[in-house]
Amino acid sequence: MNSMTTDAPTTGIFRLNMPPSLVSIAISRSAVRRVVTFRDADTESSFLVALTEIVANAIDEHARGGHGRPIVLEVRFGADDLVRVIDTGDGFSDQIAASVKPDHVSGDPEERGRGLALARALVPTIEFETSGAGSTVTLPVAGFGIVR
Amino acid sequence: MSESSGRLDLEIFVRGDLDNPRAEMRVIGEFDRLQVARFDRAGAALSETLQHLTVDLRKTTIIDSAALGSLIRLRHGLDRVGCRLEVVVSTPFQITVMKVGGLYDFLNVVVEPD
Repeated sequence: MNSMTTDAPTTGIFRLNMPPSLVSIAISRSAVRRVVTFRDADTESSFLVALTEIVANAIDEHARGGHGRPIVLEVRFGADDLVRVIDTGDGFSDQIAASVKPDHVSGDPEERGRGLALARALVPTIEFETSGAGSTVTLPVAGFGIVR
Repeated sequence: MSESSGRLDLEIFVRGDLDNPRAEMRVIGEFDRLQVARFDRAGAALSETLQHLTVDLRKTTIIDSAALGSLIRLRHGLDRVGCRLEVVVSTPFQITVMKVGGLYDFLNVVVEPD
């Protein structure tokens, strides 16, 4: 007789292709809420605002680049629980990602860079990678909750 | 875990007298780039005779950079009519957003328990 296991997988990847439009902000937040159990409401807000800023940045870059390729939301669980936003557009430059600093003061409502500064402050372990193929932003879930 | 409705509810209360017109705008829910147009319209509709406006963000679960931009536009608009703006927050997340945005003093942020 064959024995079968019904144990849930201990590692895995979940990927979602999202359109490069504002609706992807709501889609990404909803998807992450469904797979991540947050420690509390405050950590949930912090993580989701950081995610919002990263997805919004990807949407803006796609709009500037004038192409309609999808933005990929990737959730990994297992050894490291993390959320990734993979953007095949122009992405942000390393200089922009490195230069945004918390506590930057400006009264300019449209100031570019405030969103990335916010993301970096709310999720200090955030990682930015840029290559010729686009950019990847990794948001580790550790400290905020667990992927379930 | 909370399940968000994805809505921004605006409640606007006006109080005071003719000598000292004050208003309070209470923002509840997700205050983000999907919703800032509603907030901008509500701010623009406020009377130009106001002398003091309080924006209460204590019930917000999301405040993104677009929302901060909207608050900055509101502050600039109120400056033109001589109205003082005060923004009320309560949670660590809300306080962090205001500090990182560099807007703590610009928006006259006040921390009050919810």
